[in-house]
Amino acid sequence: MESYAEIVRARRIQIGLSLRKFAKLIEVSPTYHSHVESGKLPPPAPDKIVRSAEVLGFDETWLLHIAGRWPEAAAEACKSRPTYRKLVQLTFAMDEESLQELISDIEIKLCDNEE
Amino acid sequence: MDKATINSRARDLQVRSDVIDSNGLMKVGAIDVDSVAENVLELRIEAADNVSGVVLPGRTLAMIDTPDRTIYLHPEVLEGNNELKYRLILSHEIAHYILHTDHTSQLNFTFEDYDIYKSNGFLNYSVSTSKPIEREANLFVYFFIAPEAELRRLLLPLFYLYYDDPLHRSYAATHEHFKQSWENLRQRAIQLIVDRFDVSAPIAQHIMEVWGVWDSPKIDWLTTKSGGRLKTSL
Repeated sequence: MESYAEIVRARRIQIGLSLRKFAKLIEVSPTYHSHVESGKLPPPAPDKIVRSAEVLGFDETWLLHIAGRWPEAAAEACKSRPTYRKLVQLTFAMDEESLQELISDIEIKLCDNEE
Repeated sequence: MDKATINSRARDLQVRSDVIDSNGLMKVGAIDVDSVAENVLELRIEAADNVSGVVLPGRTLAMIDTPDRTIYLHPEVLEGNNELKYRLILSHEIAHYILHTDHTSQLNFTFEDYDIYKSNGFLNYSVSTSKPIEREANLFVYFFIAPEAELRRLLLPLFYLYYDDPLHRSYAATHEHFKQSWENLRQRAIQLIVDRFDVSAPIAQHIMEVWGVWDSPKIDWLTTKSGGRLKTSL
């Protein structure tokens, strides 16, 4: 699988954004971002990855996963969103089958929302 | 390497980068040098510092590592707000990549900060330098950022009498036709170039110098379209 650095750089170039413009859009320094793209620094903080996904047209969850920052992003959401924290707490005690049902329900709900 | 060869390489890159059409006219505003470097030439752009492990010595602002196909820029350049300075430095490193990687054993080419300076408050970047390969790279930059056909198209309304003649003849004819001072014509030409290529006034002057339309023409007489003769010498 391609790394976060490779994926972000390839997509940025594909959509015609310069390194400097892209860094400005996600509010990091071009120097820092050049090191992220070369793989010399790890992917940025989750909020920057979410912003990168928006700019590059990627699914943010997927990009967080690629960046290895998904647990971090979930932890951040638990801190900042009480409802999300409650949902996570409630799922701790659920078995696999119940969890799968819940996921299906959520997916149906998301589809309805999109329509 | 002569000027014609350097211009030919610049034109090849313009064609490959799709920044000029089949008539040699620029399709866009200022040439997107980032896209040429990253998309067309597949070069990397990276900051030169302790993280990249490339620390530029002294007053060096940029370096291209040709085996690694990477242009290292001083953070001051990468973070700076001067787009023109950034474009010129990047173009200069591209120039070395295009001109000098196939026939020299040199692997790294740099750009020093004294190559670029302020002149009357405007960014300046002289073509002249004592090192031949640097002069070639500088010439390439000028040919690249201001394509010949586009420059002709731009200046023809100003020098309208001799559409088929070399630029300097048109220049002479217009001077004679409008009875304007050379300085006035030059200033009008500079403004057109500044607006079109998004460069500073001193750089617009260098563009005219490298294309041979800055100095007054050496010829004495020109034939007008109606067969008359115009004296063109001052």
